[in-house]
Amino acid sequence: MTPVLTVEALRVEIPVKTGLLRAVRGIDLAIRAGETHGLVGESGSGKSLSALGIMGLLPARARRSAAQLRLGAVDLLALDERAMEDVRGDRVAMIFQEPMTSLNPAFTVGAQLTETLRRHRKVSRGEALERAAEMLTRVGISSPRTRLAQYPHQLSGGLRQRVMIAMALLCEPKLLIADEPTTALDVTVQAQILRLLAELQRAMGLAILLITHDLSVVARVAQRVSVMYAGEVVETGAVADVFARPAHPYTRGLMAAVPVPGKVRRGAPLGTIAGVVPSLVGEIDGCAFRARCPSAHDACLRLPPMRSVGDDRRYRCHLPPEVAEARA
Amino acid sequence: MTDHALRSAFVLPRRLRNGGFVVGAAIVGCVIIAALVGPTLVPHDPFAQDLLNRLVPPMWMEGGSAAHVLGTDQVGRDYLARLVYGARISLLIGLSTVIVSGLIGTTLGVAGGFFGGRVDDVVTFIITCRLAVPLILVALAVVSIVGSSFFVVVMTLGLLLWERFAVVARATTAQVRNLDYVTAARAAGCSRGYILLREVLPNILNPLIVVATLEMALAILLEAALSFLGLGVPPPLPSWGLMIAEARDYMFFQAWVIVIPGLALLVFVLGINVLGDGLRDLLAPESRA
Repeated sequence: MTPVLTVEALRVEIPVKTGLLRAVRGIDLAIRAGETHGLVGESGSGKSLSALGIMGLLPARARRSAAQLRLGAVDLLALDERAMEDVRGDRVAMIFQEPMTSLNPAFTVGAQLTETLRRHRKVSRGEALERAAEMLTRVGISSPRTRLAQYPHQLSGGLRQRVMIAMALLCEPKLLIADEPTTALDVTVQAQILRLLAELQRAMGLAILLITHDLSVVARVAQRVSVMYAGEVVETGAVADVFARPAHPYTRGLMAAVPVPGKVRRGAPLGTIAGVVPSLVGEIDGCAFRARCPSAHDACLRLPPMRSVGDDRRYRCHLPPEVAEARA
Repeated sequence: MTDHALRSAFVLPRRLRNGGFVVGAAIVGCVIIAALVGPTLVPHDPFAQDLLNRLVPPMWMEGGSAAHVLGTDQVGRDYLARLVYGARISLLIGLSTVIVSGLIGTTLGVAGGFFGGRVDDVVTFIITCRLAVPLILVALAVVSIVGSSFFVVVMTLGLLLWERFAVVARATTAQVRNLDYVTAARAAGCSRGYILLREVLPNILNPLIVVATLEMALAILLEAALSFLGLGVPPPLPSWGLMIAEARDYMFFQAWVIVIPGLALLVFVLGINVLGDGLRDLLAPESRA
């Protein structure tokens, strides 16, 4: 089965005063229908820019290049801006971190929902309203008719995020890119939204690219995960495998930093990975994680190869996992 | 009924609790009504001269009569009729100027704020150039070269008074541009033009409305100044500035001829400014629900 989204060697580069900021350094992704792919990494690791790059929504100064960027059979690299506008919102949709600011405060929920639909489908205003109300019900909003007439400021954060999801799914896209969809919500609402996304995914066969820095969110909803560090994917594979036996030293560091109730003593300092992310301006020689890696050695001055373990598990490190583990 | 419910039953709508808004709206409303229906209510023609009844004082002064409530001017024209007709001129000048300058300024400002980079550099440069132009001097020069007419005055002022629109539109657009709902609209496949019209413009309208009131007051004052110098709307159109100019010679002995149009101008401009201030408080983002 061809993946819904195929990304090969995606690069995003932004010219800055001191040189060229290589924010995304050639990442590969493949997401199949009905699958949730988690993209995790710390702030500035290039997660969001990768998503914007896929959508073609990068800031004007940023440059994008890729060996392959396909949505189903459509080659996104070959599309011009007009054609891209037709794809966005129709076959690929996106939801954002801040539900408080991602709806236009000047128009009612109904006006905003129907316009997305009417932008891509030939439907009458009445029919669009009908479909919008239906969609609101599907995302778990009661009395949708009332909500359609309301303005964004009359809705709570959780409701707004549901509206955003409804708006994103109105045209039944193949791929949904969710950029930190639950970060701004409190934990209860976060759980509801994640459950809702999973339900809708099952019902619609949706592929989801879930961008987050919250490993527990990935563990809960994603089937596959890619860990980003300094603009590169350092490890990718099935969530269960990666989390159970992380192969890359960075992933291992991340997992070790997650506090586990019962295992981590109360009052003990939270786990960290010593050091800072290297500057992304210019080329990075060798392994980007070298300076913070507990098992760094001479070979790390060269760019590590992408190693495979098992069927579809890959990571970028010179050391086989057993060796790295033993050295750490 | 609880105490709280009792009190809230008597709470006025927020709009009416803002003193500035109420006072300003009342003054501006009065002037608009006077301008619209006044000329039909006043029994005199603002252009009809009556040389036998020159400089009749207002009715409350000695020698005044009920026939001319505010008296007559130096050629015997009814002062109230001219004042009311002049309100029309002032309003029309103010509104037309604000429409012209608002269009220019908002277009430039939104373009600069939205597209940024080169476009913004050009817009900022144009704004700086405009700020370097001496307003009154250029207005005087243009009007004295082209000749004064209603159209020339409006276009001159409109082409000169847009910079505050541009500055405010540019700043607010740059803010709105980076908000998630604009990115969300792009992610939903909306084109740039659509985003400008539907996502950006409605959300920067409030501060622009406030700017419009201030610019309108300024335009009315400038028109009065031009008229006073004999370069505004041409006589015998009864502009308030022209009335002040024509009354200049009599101000020492018949002070009311200059006080009445002067007071009208003061109160109207003050009213617009107070209304603008009130609107700014009402429309301020932090007070919005």
